[in-house]
Amino acid sequence: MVQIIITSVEGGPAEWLLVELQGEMVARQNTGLAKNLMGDLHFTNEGVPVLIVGHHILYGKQVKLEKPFAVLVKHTVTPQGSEVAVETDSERLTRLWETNCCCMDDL
Amino acid sequence: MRTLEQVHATVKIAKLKEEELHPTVHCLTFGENVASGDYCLLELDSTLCARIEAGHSLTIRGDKDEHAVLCTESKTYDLRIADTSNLLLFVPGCNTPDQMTGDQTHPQLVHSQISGFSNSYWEVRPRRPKLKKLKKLLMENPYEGPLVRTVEDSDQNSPGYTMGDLLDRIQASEVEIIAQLKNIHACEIDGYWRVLDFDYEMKLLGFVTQLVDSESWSFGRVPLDYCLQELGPLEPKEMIEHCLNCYGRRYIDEGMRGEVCFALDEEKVCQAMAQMLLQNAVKFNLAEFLEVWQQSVPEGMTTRLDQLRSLALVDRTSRPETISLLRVEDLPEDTQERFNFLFSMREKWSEDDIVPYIRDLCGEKQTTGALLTKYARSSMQNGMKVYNSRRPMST
Repeated sequence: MVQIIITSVEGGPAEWLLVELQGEMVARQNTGLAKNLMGDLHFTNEGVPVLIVGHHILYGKQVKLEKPFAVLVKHTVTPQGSEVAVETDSERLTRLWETNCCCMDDL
Repeated sequence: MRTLEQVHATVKIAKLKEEELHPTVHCLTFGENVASGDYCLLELDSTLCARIEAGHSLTIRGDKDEHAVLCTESKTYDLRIADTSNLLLFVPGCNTPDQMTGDQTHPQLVHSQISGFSNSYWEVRPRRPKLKKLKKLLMENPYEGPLVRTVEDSDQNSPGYTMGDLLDRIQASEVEIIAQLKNIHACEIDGYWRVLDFDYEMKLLGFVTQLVDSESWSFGRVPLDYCLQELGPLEPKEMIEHCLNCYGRRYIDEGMRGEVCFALDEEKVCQAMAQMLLQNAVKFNLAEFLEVWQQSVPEGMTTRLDQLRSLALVDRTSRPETISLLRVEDLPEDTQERFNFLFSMREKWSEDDIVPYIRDLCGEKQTTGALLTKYARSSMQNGMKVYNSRRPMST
């Protein structure tokens, strides 16, 4: 059986922002989305979010989530010094993703 | 990198008024790994959220052919994927105006990266733990006493399962597994969890009850030390004490120099005796059984049919009336399968008869009444409400 551990950092993970969009996002030149500019996020003085994406101006609403979400990050670990790579998938909450990146560089 | 001037130029082209906008702007770009699929969203209830914020872990458990469950240390949840028609982007370190601190007067540009996106998330719903597998695993090698060496032992294979092994195989939280181990009278021997062979367990109980009889003790006051002293030569002391723990309640008798004593539980002892009698036959003449059963229990204990709810089933339609062993723990764990099984055994059930066999299926805040409404059909028979299957059953 698989056991996937979801670990969290003490003090709890940081709070991220969730942006919900209707529709799809496609990169203009088929280059994929990574590293590309998405848009500018403004807020009016009344707190209304305004998102400028390409030629589109999107008006939105700031809403507190009814139930909180956790963002899980997949993290595959290879223990150092072992002959055979043993893969255990563990998902870590967002606060740790910076640490994970460091680990990956070390291996 | 986009500059504040460029952002303001865009605002002009968009014909928005800078003075109507908050001075802080976020420029959103897609992160390097945004499309990697290494992220997912998990919807939390307040319990889970509190555990995560306190720094505790959660564990997802399941075999390839099972629906995955999510466990905290003490609860189990179903996991399901929910699709949304919208796109959800997650952006770390991006504050809304109410969260912004510091200088709020000068224009500022904050560069924020979108770490990932998704159009689905995982939903959790509390569920009862799947514990039937636990007894099944431990019954692979029941403990029959110190003198009996099983084939597995002599082959030097692992004689059982450690808690770690169990957590690797059972879709339940550790607290729930521990509670079930207690229910099935399992004990830890040499680091492995073992369930007792029923005959051996009855042998231990027999020694205890015979001692109680011969010493003319009240079964509410069984002194531990004296028990271990007298029965120690017959069976390991840990097993005697384990038996007392399973069938009695431990307490300290302040009156007698703080002696540790056990109060034997009348219901548990009577149930064990009933099982011992019923397991060797398909069914028993009810009247005869009631007589033999009463004689089999220790002096001072009274047997009552209601002690056998979820353990045995009485057939009042047969002549003579009969009783047979039917233990709820032997029945299917899945709700629909359980109802199918019960209705294939007996076409119509009274509420009194069926409730003990479905009570364990109730989820949080669910009643047996709700289950019956959903999985059965009711009708009146001889002025009494009876339940039968919603679908055609072959009996």
